[in-house]
Amino acid sequence: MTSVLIVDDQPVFRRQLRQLLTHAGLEVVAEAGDITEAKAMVCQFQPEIAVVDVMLPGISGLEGTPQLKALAGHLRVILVSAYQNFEQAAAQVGADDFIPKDELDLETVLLWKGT
Amino acid sequence: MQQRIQQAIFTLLALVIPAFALFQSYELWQAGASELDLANIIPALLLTLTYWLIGLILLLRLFQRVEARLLFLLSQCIGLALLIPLAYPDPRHAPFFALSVSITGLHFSGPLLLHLHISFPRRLGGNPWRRRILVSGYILAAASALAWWLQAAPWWQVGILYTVGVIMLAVGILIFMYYRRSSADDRQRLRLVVLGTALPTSFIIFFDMLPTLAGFSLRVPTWALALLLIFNPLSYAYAISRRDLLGVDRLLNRALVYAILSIGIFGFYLGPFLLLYRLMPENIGLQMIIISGLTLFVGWSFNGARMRVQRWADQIFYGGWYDYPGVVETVSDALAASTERSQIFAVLTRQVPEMMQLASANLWIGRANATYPHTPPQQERFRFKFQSEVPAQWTVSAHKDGSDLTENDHRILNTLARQAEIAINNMLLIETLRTQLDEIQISREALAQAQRQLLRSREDERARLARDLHDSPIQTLVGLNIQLGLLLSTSSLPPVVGEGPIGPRETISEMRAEVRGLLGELRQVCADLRPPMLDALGLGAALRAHADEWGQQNNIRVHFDAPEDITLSKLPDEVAVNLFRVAQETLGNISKHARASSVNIHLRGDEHQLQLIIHDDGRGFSKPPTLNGLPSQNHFGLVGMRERIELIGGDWSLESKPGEGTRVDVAWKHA
Repeated sequence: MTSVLIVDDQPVFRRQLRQLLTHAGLEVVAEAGDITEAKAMVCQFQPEIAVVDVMLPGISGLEGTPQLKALAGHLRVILVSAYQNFEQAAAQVGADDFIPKDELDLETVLLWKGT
Repeated sequence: MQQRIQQAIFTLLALVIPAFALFQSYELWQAGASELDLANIIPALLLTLTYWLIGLILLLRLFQRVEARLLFLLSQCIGLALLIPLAYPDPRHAPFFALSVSITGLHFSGPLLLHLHISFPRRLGGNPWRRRILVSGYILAAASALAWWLQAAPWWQVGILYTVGVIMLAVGILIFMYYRRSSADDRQRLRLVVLGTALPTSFIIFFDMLPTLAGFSLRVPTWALALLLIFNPLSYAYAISRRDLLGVDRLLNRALVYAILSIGIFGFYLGPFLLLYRLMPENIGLQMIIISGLTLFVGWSFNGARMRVQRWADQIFYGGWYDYPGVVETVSDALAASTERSQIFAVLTRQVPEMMQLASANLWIGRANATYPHTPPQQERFRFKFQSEVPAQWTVSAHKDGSDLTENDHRILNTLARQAEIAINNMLLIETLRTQLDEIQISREALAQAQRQLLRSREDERARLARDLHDSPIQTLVGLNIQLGLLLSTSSLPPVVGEGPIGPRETISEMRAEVRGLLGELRQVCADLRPPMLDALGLGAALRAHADEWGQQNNIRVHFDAPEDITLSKLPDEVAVNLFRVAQETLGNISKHARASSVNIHLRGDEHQLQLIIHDDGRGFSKPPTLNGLPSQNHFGLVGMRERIELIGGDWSLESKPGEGTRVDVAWKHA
C-alpha cells in the first residue's frame, strides 16, 4: 500500500484529505503542520508520497520541497494549494506535481497509487 | 572764484612762518650768531612750528568752517609773535625787522582770539554789535602795529597794553562761555582748551610781557615759557583728537593708520626687496620667487594688519572716549545684519555699551500684550511696540566713569534706537514667519504620516482579510469539494432514469460545480486582496505572473525584462507589496487609458536596492507640472503611486508626452 504524509497547517483539510486518500486505498502514515515537523515524519515513517501545501507557516511548501527530497531520495512531493498558477514554481523547486486543492478528487489521487 | 582767492591767500599766509623762520635762520647763521644758544632757538622753533602745523592741519581739513580759518590765522600770528622774543635771550638785541614782524603777529593775535571766542563754541551777541567790536578791534590792532613800526612813543607801549587787554578779554569770554553757556558736550571738549589757553596766556602776560614793558630785567627763562606755551596748541591737538573738536580726529586717525601701514609695507616688502637686489643682483629667478612670495604675503596679511593697526589707533584716539560716526556706522551695520534675537541682544547690550563706554545696557522683548518692566530713573529708556501688541524696551545707563550722557550721546542713542526698532521689527516678523512655516511643516508631516499609516493599515487589513478567507471559507469549500467528490464516487447512489425528477447524483454533481465556482470567485477575491505569489515566491515571480496574466487578459504584448532567477523573496514585506501595487496600478492605467500594443517591464536589483521601469507605447498624455492638483480632480492614481513609493523611501517619477507613450520609473534603496 502506498504510504502518504500530509503536510498542511489546516487540521480540517488534513482530515478530509486523509478520508479521500484512505478511500482511494492509500495509507496515510503521518500528518504534519509545517515543514520542520514534516522532515521528522519523513525520517521516521519513510513515506512514498508527501502531499504538501504551498502556503505553510514559516518555511513555505516551495522552499520545503528540496529539503524533504534531500532527506529521502525516493520521496515524491506533490504540492497543493487553494490558489492556482504554482505549476511552474513547483516544477522549478523539483516537486513531482502541483494540484490546486479544488481539483483533488478520487480520480486524481487514484493516479498516485502504485506509481 | 571768491573761494579760490581765499584759498590762495591762506596758502600764502601758511608760507609766512616757514619763510620767516628760514630767513631768520639764514641771517643768524650769516651773522655768526654768537649770542644765541641752542637752549633758546630750539624751543622757539619747536613752539612756532607746532602752532604752524596745527593751524595748517585745521585749515586743510576744515577750510569751509570759520572757526578753523580763525584758528589757523590765530596760530600763525601766535607762532610769529613767539619766534623772535623767545629765540633771543634779550629781545631788545634782536634785529628790528624781525622783532617787528613778531610784534605785528602779537597785535593781530589779540582781536583774532576775541573773534574766535565770540564765535566758538557759541556765537555771542547780535551781528551789528559783533561787527562793531571786531572792526574796531582789528583797526586798533593795525594802529598798534603801525605805532610799533614807527616807534612812536608812547603809542607803541599803549598798543601793547591794548593787545594784552584784548587777549585777557578774549580769555575771559572763553571762561565765561565755558561756565555759563556751554552744554555738557562742549564742556568735555573745551575743558582742556580753556586750561591750555588761560594758563599760558596769563603766565606770559604777567611774568613776561608786563615785566618787560615795565623794564624789569628779570625774565622767566625761554625754555620754561616754551614748555608752558606749547601746552596751548597741544591742548587744541588733544581736544581735536580725543574730543572730536571740529571732527578732525578721523582724519588724524586714518592718517596715523595708513602711515603705520606704509612703514610696515616698506619694512616687510621694500626692505627685503632692496636687500635682495643688493645681495643677489645676478639671480633674477630667485629674486622673482622671493618677490612673488613677499607680494602674496603682503596681500594676504594687509587686511588683518590694517584692522589690527586701526584698533590700536582707535584705542589711542578713543580710549577714554569714542568715535561717534564710527559707532553709528558699526552698530547700524551690525543691526542691519541681525535677523535673530541673540544677534540683536549682542549688539544692543554688549557692543553699544562697549563702544560708547556705558556702564550697562539692557534689552527686554516681552510677550504679546505684556506690560513694560520698571526702569530705574537714572537710565535712558527707549520703548517700542510691534504689530501694536509686542512690547520691547532698551535701557542704557550713564558712562562707565560715572559721567552723565551728553547731548551727542542722546543723539546717537536716538539714532541707534530707531535702527534697533527696525531690526527688532524685522526679527519679530522673521520669527513669526518661521513659526508659521514650522507649523505648516509639522502639519504637512502629520498629514503625510497619517496617509502612510492609512496605506499601511489598509494593506494590513487586506492581507488579514485574504488570510481569513484562505483559512476559513476557502478551506471549508475545499473540504466540501472533496466530500462531494467522495460522495459521487460511491456506487450506492442511484442514477436518474428517463425524464423523471433529478436524482441525487446529478444534484451532488451540480452542488460540486457550484462549490468549485464559488471557490474560484473567492480565490480571485483573495488574490486581489493579497497576491499569493508575493508571499510564496517573492516580488519577482509575483510581478512576472501578474504581467503574464494581465497581458493575456488585455491582449497586450508584455516584455518582462528581468533576470530569470530574480525572486526578491527577502524584500521587506512593505516594500514588496507597495512596489507590486504600483506596478498593478500602472498596468491598470495602461489597460484603461493608454491604448498600448506593447509594454516593457524592466526589473533589476536585489534585496538592498532595485529599479522598476514600466514603459508603454500608448498614446501618452500631457503631464501636469505638478501632481498636487490631481486629487481635487478625483485623479488619485498617480498621487497614490507617489505616496506608496514615498512611504517605502523610494523615488517615483513619470514621463509622458502625447503620442510618445508613458514611462513610470521607480527606484528604491534600503535605508
